[in-house]
Amino acid sequence: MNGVADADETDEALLDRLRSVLQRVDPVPEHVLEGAKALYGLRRLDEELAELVRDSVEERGRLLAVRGEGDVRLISFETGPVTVELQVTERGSVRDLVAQVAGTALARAEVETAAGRRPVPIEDGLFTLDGVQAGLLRLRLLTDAGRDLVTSWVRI
Amino acid sequence: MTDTFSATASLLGRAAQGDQRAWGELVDQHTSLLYAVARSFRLDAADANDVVQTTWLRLLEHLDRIEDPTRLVGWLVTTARREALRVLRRGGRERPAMEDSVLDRADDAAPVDSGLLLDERNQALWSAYRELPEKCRRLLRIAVYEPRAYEEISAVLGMPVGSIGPTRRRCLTQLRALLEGTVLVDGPDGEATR
Repeated sequence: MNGVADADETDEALLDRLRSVLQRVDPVPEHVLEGAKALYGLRRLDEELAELVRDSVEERGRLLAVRGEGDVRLISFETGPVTVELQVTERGSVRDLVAQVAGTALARAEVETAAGRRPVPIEDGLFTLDGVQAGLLRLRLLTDAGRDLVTSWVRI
Repeated sequence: MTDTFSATASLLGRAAQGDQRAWGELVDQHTSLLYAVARSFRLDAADANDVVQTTWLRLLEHLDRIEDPTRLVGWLVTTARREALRVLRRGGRERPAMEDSVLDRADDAAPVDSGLLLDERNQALWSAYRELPEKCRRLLRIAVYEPRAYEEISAVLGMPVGSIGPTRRRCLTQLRALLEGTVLVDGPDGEATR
C-alpha cells in the first residue's frame, strides 16, 4: 500500500483534501484578494445607488451568439423615479457612450473609471462620451436638488 | 452552522458601518469560492478576476440591503454566476462569442505541471479529479468550499436542487474509484499490482 487510496477517508476529509489540492494547483492570485479588499475604499454612504435593472448582454441568449464590431449594448439603472439609460458601442478596446437620464434635472454628470473621474457636459439629461477604455465604469450624477446619485458599476 | 451565520451577520454589520477589517475578512472567507465559480465557467484567470471584483463591488453597493445574512453565500454565488455569464456573452477579452453549450464545459486548464506542488498522494487525487466528467469537476470545485450549499450549486450548474445531493454522492464514488485505479502501479514485469 502506498496510501493513495484510503477506504476510511470520509467524504468530508476527501473534499477537504481536494480543496487543498485545487488551491495549490489553481490558487486565487494574491492580487485578486488585495483588489477585492481595496474596493472598500470606493464606498460612500452619502450617495444614492441607481441599481442596474437591465443589461441587453443578458438578453442575448443563444440566438445572438456572434458578436461584431459596433455592437450596441443597452444598460438601464433605476432609483425611485430616476432612470438612467446607458448605450455602449464597442470600438476595439474603447467604448463610445451615450447616456440619457430621466426623472430628475441634473446639475452635473461624471463618468468614473479605474483611471478616475471625468466631467461630461449634459444637455436635457443627455450626454455623450467617446473613446472610453473598456473596463469598470459608473456614472455619478448630481441632481438640481443636490442629491448625489451613482449607478452600479458595470464592466463595459 | 448557527455560529457561522451569526459571525457572517456580525461581519456584514461591521462592514456596513465602516469597518474595513470586517470587509477584508469577508473577502478572505469567500473569494476562493467565487474564484472557483468563475473558473468553473472556463474563464481564464484575468476574466475570473474581473468576475470576482465585480461580485464584491455588487456586495459593496448592497451592504446596507442584505436582509438575511444566512443567504450571503447564495447571494455571492448567484451574483458571480451572473457576472460570469455576462463576461461569456460579451465575449470576454477578444474571445470569440460562445454558444451556451460551451458554458457547460468545466474549466480545468490549470497548470499540468503539478508535480512540484503536490506530494504523491495528492498528485493521485489531482489526476483522478481530472478524469472525472465535467459535471462532477464543476460540482466538486464548488462543493469543496460549501459542501452542503445545494441551492447555490444548483444555481451555478443549472441543475435541479434535488439532484445535487445524489450527483455529489455519485461524483465522490467515481472519484474514489479513480483513486483506486491510480493505486495500480506497474510492477517489475509490467503487470499492474497493488
